[in-house]
Amino acid sequence: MDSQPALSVGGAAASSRAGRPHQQAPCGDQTVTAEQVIFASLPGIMGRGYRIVAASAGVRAQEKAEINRRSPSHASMCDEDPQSVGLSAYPLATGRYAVACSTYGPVEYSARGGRRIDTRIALLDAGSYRRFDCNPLRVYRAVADAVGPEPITKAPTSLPRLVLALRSSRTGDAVTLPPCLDAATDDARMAYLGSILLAGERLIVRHVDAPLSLLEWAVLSIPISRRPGLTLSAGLKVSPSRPSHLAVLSRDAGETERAIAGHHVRVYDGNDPPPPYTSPYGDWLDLVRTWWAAGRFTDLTRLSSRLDAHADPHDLSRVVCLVRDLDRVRQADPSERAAIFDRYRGRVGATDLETDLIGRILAVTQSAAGTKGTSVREKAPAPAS
Amino acid sequence: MERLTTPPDEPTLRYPELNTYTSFSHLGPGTRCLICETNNPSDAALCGECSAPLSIVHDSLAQEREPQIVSIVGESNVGKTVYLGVLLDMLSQRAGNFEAIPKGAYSVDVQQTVISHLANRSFPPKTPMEANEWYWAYYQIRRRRPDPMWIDLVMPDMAGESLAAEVASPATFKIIRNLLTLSRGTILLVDAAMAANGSAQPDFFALKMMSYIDTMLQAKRDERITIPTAVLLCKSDYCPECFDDPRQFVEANLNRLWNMCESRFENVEYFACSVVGSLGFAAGDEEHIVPIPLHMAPQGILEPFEWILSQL
Repeated sequence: MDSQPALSVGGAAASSRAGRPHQQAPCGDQTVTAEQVIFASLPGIMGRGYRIVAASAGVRAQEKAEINRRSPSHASMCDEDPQSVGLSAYPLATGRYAVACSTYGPVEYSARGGRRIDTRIALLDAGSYRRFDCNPLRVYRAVADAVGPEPITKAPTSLPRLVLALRSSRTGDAVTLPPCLDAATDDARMAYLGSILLAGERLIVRHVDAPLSLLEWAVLSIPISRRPGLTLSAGLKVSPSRPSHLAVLSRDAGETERAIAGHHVRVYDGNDPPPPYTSPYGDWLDLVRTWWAAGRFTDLTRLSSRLDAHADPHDLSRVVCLVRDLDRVRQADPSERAAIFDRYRGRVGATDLETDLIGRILAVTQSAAGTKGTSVREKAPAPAS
Repeated sequence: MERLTTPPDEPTLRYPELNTYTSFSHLGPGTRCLICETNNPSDAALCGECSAPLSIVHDSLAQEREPQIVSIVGESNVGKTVYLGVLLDMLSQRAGNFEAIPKGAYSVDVQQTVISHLANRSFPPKTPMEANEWYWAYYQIRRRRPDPMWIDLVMPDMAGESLAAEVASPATFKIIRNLLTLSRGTILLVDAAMAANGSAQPDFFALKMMSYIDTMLQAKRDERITIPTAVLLCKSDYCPECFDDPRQFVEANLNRLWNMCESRFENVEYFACSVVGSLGFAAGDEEHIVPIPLHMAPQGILEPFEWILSQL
């Protein structure tokens, strides 16, 4: 089971936490405002059954149609555990991004077996999504903080915009691996998932204990420049009405095969070793494997979240080369260190990140060698990324 | 200072648009979907565009005649699945001098689900909005007397919420639009019990549904829609007067629908039906009320279907 914060789709319009009136936090550097939609099966004055029961004022008709099409309805979650969470993230035709969090509610109103599935969708513009590192799990945690755990009991008459705090597990903080993932054995699996995502192909990973965690780490393992266009889902049954680049399932009763038969979608059983693959992003994926196996998760997430100008394999190979040289220079003997210094002296990178890495390489060599009178200021040894 | 390399000028790589599974129409012959005419790989089970089962195409090719689609539409929880399941089960047992042969094991799923649940004193599960989860029935049907003639019918069991979403915002679920466009007949289910209790909700939904069909078929202002449409009053055991004069019941209790049909539809007939003979109620664990069908007493199930067939 994913160890994610408890989220209920509910939380009436007037309150975001139990017993406290909703307080609109000032929108500043540490918060992001998002539109929100609630999709659920609630009997109401205007209708009944699964539909959009409430939406904030800025949601457009085109976005509502897409949300109607993609949101999970009856019996669409993989797991029947009432505590299960489903997540999907997809770009909208309007240019915004939807992050949808699905949870079980009470028994469905018509009492025809099974629990209601309540879905809260946060809509973010490109800039806001970028501030969450295009990581839907970060958005999910921020939404959970904003709305609280109360279940929805009736359709709210109005829905305010969400004010999401950016402080929820900010990229750059020390990152620990969730218990469901293993540094020693998941390095190859992470590289395989990364290869599929970078290729823009479609993959279903099934029989995964913690689908949300696996999804998050698959996203964090690829450059941020490649994340916005991805359609992702975790914990939801596969359906052609919500196609995904990556769908992670906890269980599969066999309906997946029928849904994708003949349509060139890969299926990977999470209990098995990943299949062999070839990728033009080989250098980057090798780095992912190496750092994953070494437990350098913080370095990996920091580096991947700075790669916003690196989209093609050549760009990434260049960065990988710099990163490996930075690692190498720390342990190199004086002659090798001098060679690395000469290689980079007087050069700047094609991007700010590359220039920064070059500066660090030079700083480390100078610091180690005690070189004086150079044009690059000395810096204290810094983390690899 | 020397640059390590030239800055990247190429645009950011973009993923291809991910609306549905990849269309393979450019690859030449495959399996063309009966509903949306999208070309699919020959080994696909579902259409990549609309999720319709491609087994219908394979089965229809074997029959060497195009099947005709009869759409059953109605609001969520009105009883579409129950009606279709009971209807097919009755036809399978040669009720009303009909002979019905299912084409493909998948065609039996809906009647098996409905009859099994009712026998267990429960209603079948809610139909999900996802089109790949819908039941599809493909039957060869003929009336043995007076003029036996085989007709191939495809009857999908659509989710009421999907219908509502499509009606509210056309093109949300293109499969619904395609199905209704191709339909040779329509059975509109309306909750007579709610209408008899004074609720306007069934009337409004039915009005929206008929208006959607009217707009979709784009008949001119002085022309009326000729597609045979059976308005079926469901759960009429609550209001037995429906059986006496369904037309009068609709005019009195579903007046908006009545006016729409009179104005824009040429070929409409009204029927009443009931499946459950008596209904009990139980309190569930979470203080919700669970309706329990105590026994089946089908009434008026075959008549609307017979009428539709006679109009084809």
